[in-house]
Amino acid sequence: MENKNEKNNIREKVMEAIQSGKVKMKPRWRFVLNSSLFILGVFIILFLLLYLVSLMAFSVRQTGLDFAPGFGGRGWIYFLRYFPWLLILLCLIFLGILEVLVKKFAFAYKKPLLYSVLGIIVIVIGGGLAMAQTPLHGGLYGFARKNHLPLAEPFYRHFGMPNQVDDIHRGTVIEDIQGGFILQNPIGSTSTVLISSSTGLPFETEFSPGDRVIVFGEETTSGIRAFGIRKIMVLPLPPDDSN
Amino acid sequence: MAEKSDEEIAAQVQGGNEESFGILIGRYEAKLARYARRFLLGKEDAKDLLQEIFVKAYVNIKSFDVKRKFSPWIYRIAHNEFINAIQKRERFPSISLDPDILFPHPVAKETADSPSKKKELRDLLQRSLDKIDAKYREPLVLYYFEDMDYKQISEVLQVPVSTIGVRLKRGRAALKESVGEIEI
Repeated sequence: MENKNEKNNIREKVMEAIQSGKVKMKPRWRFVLNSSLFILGVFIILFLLLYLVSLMAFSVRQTGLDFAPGFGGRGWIYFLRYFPWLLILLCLIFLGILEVLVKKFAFAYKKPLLYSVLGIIVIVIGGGLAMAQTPLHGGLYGFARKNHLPLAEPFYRHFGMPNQVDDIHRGTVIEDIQGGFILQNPIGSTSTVLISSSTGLPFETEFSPGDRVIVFGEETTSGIRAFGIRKIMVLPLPPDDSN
Repeated sequence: MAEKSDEEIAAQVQGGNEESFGILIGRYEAKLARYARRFLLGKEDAKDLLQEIFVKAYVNIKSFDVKRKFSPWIYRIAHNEFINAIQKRERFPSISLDPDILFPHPVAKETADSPSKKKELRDLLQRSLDKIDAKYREPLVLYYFEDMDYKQISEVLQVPVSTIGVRLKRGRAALKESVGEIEI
């Protein structure tokens, strides 16, 4: 009896609150708006992730790190040491946020978390690498060089600078010398590159004036002690337009 | 005249017939009270929680898609309320870090318990629910007492169907451990 009264109580109280106007239905447009903002948020974060992955690819290309693994174990150490880990960290944070958002959708929560995480990773890496093939970052880096990119300029100068890694040098061979050559970098300054028996030359052994090359090695007072050299097709733009 | 379905009544409420919401309360009050009592073990004020569930259901009724089943929708609201209530008194495991959800479980398929076995388990559960962790208690309550299938429970808890199988299996194992060596 008491239970029945209690039951009626709940129903009466809720209905009373509804009829008195204390409790009101949210209009449908609120849910539509919420869903739209939610989907927009998902796309913004997805775009940010694509942007970060493509920037990572751009940065690796600009610094010449993409050639490093070709020089064996030491090259791999360089690659891991100078890889833009900050961008990886940012990607992981946004990946976590995106996963939390995506899990609200039935298609995601009905499958094990691993599937949606792997799905997002595949989309982001594939899409990011495709975006890296577009002129987006090159164009933005070009603006940054001309000081026309107010907010993102420091960012592009940091991740897009071709010479940010001390031990990676790129430029044009301007003169052959005994045991090496003279390298002129895109800014115009020159360095002596010293080739020894331990220098890794995976594809070429001869360098002539006019060859564009990337050199991995520490710069000492006598010159760059190269542990790896490779010919390249394109030289990156220098960090400053004025140079 | 055939009785209207929950979804038809929900559509009426959405259309402005607020009186019809009383019918939905009438249909779900006892079910949700039972769910609350068994899942929360009587540690929270079920009356307040039920009132809150129905108020939230009414406020958000226009987000309900009448082409889908009403029952998992309102049970989802109840689940959220109950989890919030549990979290106020104890730490409830974070769903996103739960390995049951993280990895696929190909072996976790829906079992077809015979009615007699289901009744036997229901009786055992009735006596031992308090000894089972909330994570496993909830699917057990929904499966054995609310007669939901794996798919419906998966919609209420918003976890993969295979995870429901895993949790029920573990819940039954925990029950077995708590009541001794009884054939389950």
